[in-house]
Parts: sequence; structure tokens; C-alpha cells
Amino acid sequence: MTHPVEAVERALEALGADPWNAFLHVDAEGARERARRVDPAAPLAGVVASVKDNLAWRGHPMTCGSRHLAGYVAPYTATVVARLEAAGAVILGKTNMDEFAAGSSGETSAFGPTRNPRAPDRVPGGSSSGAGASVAAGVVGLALGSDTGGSIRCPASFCGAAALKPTWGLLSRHGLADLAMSLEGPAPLAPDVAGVARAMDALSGPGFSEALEGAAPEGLRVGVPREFLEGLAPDVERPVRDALRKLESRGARLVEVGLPSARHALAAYYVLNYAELASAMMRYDGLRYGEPGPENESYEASSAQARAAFGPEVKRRILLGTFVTSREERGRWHDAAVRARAALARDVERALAGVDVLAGPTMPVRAFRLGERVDDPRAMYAADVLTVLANLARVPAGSVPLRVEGLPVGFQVMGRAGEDAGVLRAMRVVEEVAG
Amino acid sequence: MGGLGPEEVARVARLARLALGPEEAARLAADLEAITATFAGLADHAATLPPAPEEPPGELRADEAAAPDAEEAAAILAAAPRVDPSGAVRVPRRRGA
Repeated sequence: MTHPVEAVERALEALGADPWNAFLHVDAEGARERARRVDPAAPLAGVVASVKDNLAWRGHPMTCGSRHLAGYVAPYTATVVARLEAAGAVILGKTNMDEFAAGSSGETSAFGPTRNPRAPDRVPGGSSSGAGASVAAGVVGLALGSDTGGSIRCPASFCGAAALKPTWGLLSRHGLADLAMSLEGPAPLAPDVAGVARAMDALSGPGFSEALEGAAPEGLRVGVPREFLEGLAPDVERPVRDALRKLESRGARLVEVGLPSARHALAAYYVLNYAELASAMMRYDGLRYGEPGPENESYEASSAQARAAFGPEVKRRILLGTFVTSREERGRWHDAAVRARAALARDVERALAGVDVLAGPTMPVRAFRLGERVDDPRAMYAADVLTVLANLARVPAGSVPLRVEGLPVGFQVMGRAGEDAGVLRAMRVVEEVAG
Repeated sequence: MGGLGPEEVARVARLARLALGPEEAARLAADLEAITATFAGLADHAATLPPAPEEPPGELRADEAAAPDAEEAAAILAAAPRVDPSGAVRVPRRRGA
């Protein structure tokens, strides 16, 4: 184990001037002080961690990547952050993110885009962009982010890291700023599967690291949804099919399965995301939270001016969320999305009935160039097509990097609700066979 | 999917309490039109599916629709916060508190 004080110094050296814009707040002196107090026997002693800026950390800034919250200081600590600290991790700072987690590339932050350490002209993926970058740059050994529709798995895939979106509800959401409460939750990202498992031991309770022991491909039943292999970029499809072949050649049993509702998953996900985000954002009115609007105006006029500080993607989602939940449109959009979500969850349950996990790519493409999609919301949303399924079905899903030339490619593993340890175990198998 | 011209966007923006400039409103109108067109198949798909367990029933259940009787209404009103003449909000103490 590296001594915590030495680990913090190494992290600060690796961070340098943060050329990736991975951090929005670095607490160097505080980290040094906390490192001196770490119990060397603590399970995460020697681990330096970053925390996404939508998780509260008492006494430290919390902006959610939004100009609206510039200057806001968290009055308490999120349960998951407290658990990491209690396990001996030293938190270095708060990481950049898409504004209020509304983005898939890390470009919608009010404080500038994050760059991918593996290719600085490329996006790191979002919305936990700084989480992915802080690990890929070798600054921290663990990043705590969140996942609403792929927000931890996308950066893991684009940056070459491992990550887990736990079963919805497994980790406490206390201290996580709301974006879309029925879809999101805290989620860890680390250089490898063992690092993610150690984080889960601290965040949820012991048993995850233990589940990795003896992980082997022999007898693993892997469901491969045919929809997961459609419409992929060739430089993603090839390594994913290679990984599946390697698993099979090492004794795993591949079973083709179908998710007939999957083609409507993106629409259902975004309609629900819009509706929940629009509701969650109503508190940012300049009075309760956010920069105040002009004085001597009505509440409505003043808060409308205050809310002009939101960035374009957040405004787009607030407008769409208000539209799809309006009296006239609710049945056609919101209620339809609720129904489609239930159908998809049934599909996932059926597909998992005869197998241990489902598997396929995490993202349909490798990391794209900065600016390439940011003005085209439909192209941006399309990148989430494979990750939103797990959030809609509330099941665990992780991403593990494959051994490839060039930009990283993530391999996604999904499991039954509550079987997060089994997903990590299968991810460990993939890591060993094809990582 | 029609009905998302600048006037509709202005109406939704008022509901959403967002002040938009003309250029921004026009750009968002185009975005909204394109996005809703992309997702337009959702309603047709949903029409082929059984209701979701958590789906809003569309109308209130009988127990939700029933008005409180006089005793319940009095208890609800007695427990409601109110503003006294000084402008301060007063929250009635619960019985036994």
C-alpha cells in the first residue's frame, strides 16, 4: 500500500495544471491533512479519490457543472462520500461534469469541456466526464460519479476504465443532486474491476471483492441481445465480437436473446429524463438555489430571468419535460414512456431468465471529437442507445475496457436487479479474457 | 408532430418559467420539432402494450376522489400552517407534541 500522504502528493503531481479540465475544485491542503489522519489498516487507505460535482461534500463547492450554482457550498456530506472517507479514501476534489448531468460527452459544463486524457482532442464521455478523465490521467485511483442513462459507463468506455452502475436503490442517493430520480444513482469508476469492487465494498457493504475470487469463464452463461450488435461503428463491433468469441473459446456459453422493446428505449428514456429533469430544476429559481433574478419583479418574472443562466441542453430538456407532461401531451408522451419502460423491464427480465448476464458493447462508437455532436442533440442522444436500457430496467450494468489498438472500447455486462456482485464477477472474467 | 412553432415554444417556456430571447426560442423550437419527430413512434408502440403497474390511471381512484368529511376537513385545516398578522408563518403544534 502506498502511504496516503505519498499517494496524495503523487496525485497532485499527476494532476499538474489539470490540462484536461477534469476538476472544478481541488482541495490540495485539505487532502494532505486528511491523508495524515488515515488509519493505515482502513480498506481504502492509500486510495486517492475524486467526487463528481453533483455529490455533496460538506464545506466544499458544489456546482453540478452549472453557472447557476457558482459559489454554492454544500452544507452536508452525501452518504456515499462519507462512506468512502470512512473507508480511508482521501478525496482530492470535485470533478467536472455536464451541467446537471444533462449530456453524454462532458461538453455542456458551464466551466468548459473536459478533455479525454487518452486523446485530448476527443471527449471523455459524460456526464461523469471528470470522473473518467481523473482516473484515465492517473490522478486518482477511484472516482465517484453518477449514472442516469450511462453517465458512468460512457466515460469508462471512452477513457478505458472500469465502472459499475449499481442496481437502482442499492446506493444511497442522499446528497446526490436530482436530475432524474427514477433513473439515476451514485456509481464508481476505477482503473480496473478490482478497484470498482473495493469501492462497492465501501459504498454498499462487503462481498463485492470476494465475488471476484476464482472468477472464470467456464460455465458462464452469457446472453447476447441481437439488438446490442446492430448499428455499431465497425471499430467497436469488431473487438466486441472478438471478445465474445474469446469468452466462448474459454468455456462460456453464448446464448442469443432478444429485447424487442429496445428500439423504443431511447425515446422512453429521454421522455422520462425530460419530465423528471424539468421537475427537479424547478427549485433553481434564484430564491432557494441559484443566482437571484432581478428585484422588484413578480416571482414568476424574476425566477424566469434567473433561470436564463441554464445552458442550452438544460433549457432544451426543461422545455421538453414541460411539454411532455402538459395536460394535452401527457398521455402521448409521458404515459407512453412509462408503459414502454415497463415493457422493456419485462424484456430484460425474460432475456436474463436463462443466463447469468447480458453482454455487448457499452457505446456504439469510440470517443468522438470535441464539438462534433454538441450542437446536434439527436446525434448526442443516439450515443446512449445501449446504456439507457439498464437505467430503465433498474438493473446493474458495468463497463470493462477491451484490449484494443487506439481509442478505448468498453464491453458492457448487465445482470438481474440485486446481482451486482455477479455482474462484477462477469466483468472480471471479461477483463481477464479480453481486457 | 406539428404544433411546436415559436408560439407553442413561448407557451411552454412560460409554463417552464424560462425567459428566452427570440433567437434562442427559434433555435429551441427547431430542436423540439426535430426531437419529438424522432421519438414520434413511442405513442404507437405504447398503444400495443398493457398498462404499466405504475402508470397513472388517468382518473382518480374512488378513494382519492372522495372529499374529506367535515371532521377530516377540520383536522386538515387545523394542522395547516398559516400566516399571522405580523407576517410570521405559524405551524400548529401536533397534539401531544
